[in-house]
Amino acid sequence: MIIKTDDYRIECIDPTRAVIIGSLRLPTPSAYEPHFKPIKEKIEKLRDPYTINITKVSFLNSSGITAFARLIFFAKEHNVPIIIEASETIPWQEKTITSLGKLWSKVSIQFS
Amino acid sequence: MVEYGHFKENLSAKTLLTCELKLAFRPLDLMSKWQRCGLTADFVSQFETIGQSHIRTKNVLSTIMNELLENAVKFSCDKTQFVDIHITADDTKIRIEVTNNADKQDTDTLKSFLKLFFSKDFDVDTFFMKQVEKGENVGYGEGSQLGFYTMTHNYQGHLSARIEKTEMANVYKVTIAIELEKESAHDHQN
Repeated sequence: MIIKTDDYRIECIDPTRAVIIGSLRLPTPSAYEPHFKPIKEKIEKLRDPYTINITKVSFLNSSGITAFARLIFFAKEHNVPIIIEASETIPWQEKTITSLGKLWSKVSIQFS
Repeated sequence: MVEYGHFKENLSAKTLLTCELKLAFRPLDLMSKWQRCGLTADFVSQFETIGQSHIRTKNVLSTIMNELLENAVKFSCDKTQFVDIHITADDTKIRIEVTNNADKQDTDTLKSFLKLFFSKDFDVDTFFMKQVEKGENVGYGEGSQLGFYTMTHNYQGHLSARIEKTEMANVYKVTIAIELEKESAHDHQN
């Protein structure tokens, strides 16, 4: 499944991997739910690690950070390890993703 | 009137401003088209950094502007009253100030947060974990103050605030300011 708007794109075609691209600045954490739902659907069918690539996400607002944290809690609930592929060159990712990684021991972050 | 974090009206009067910009929006107009918040943030960022090649600067300024504006729009108690933005910059600093009107309940919540934030016991990492876990448990992340976390922790923005009574009962004028050292805005590597 691909969710595409003028500002961002969420690709969930691969059963073990999602790619998010663009600028995500939705008004509330709840507003992210329908967009992250395909990712959750993939996670709940898995036993193996699930990868989320955000290397091309230029902006994620604080509502998005909360929504992303919910994704991690969801994976934790289903005991599916999460691999986050992030970019060191995008300021928000460097520290925020590191903080999100502390939410669960089975979250690993790969910076490029 | 109550102030937090050594609030001041402007950047130091001793230095020459290199940039000053004032904008005003009705929250209603931003709520009806939410993308206008991001558009404004990107504009402010581009305006301040025009002619510079620092991609990080543009990204940081846009992020901070967006968080402050989204916050002001959400917590404006009268969505037809203007949210004011005032940006000033000199050779070493950039200051972004956003003002909105808020009701007593939201103002009290903000005051409690600011009191905690400026207390000696405040631990930013513990705060982050607590807020995202709270967001998960109650299914409600609005007002989680995570924006303050990103602005101050991730980008070393200096936070200050002023809260004033207005002529209307239970309506307060809330001004939040973030000041950035240009070095941290431009070439922050931590």
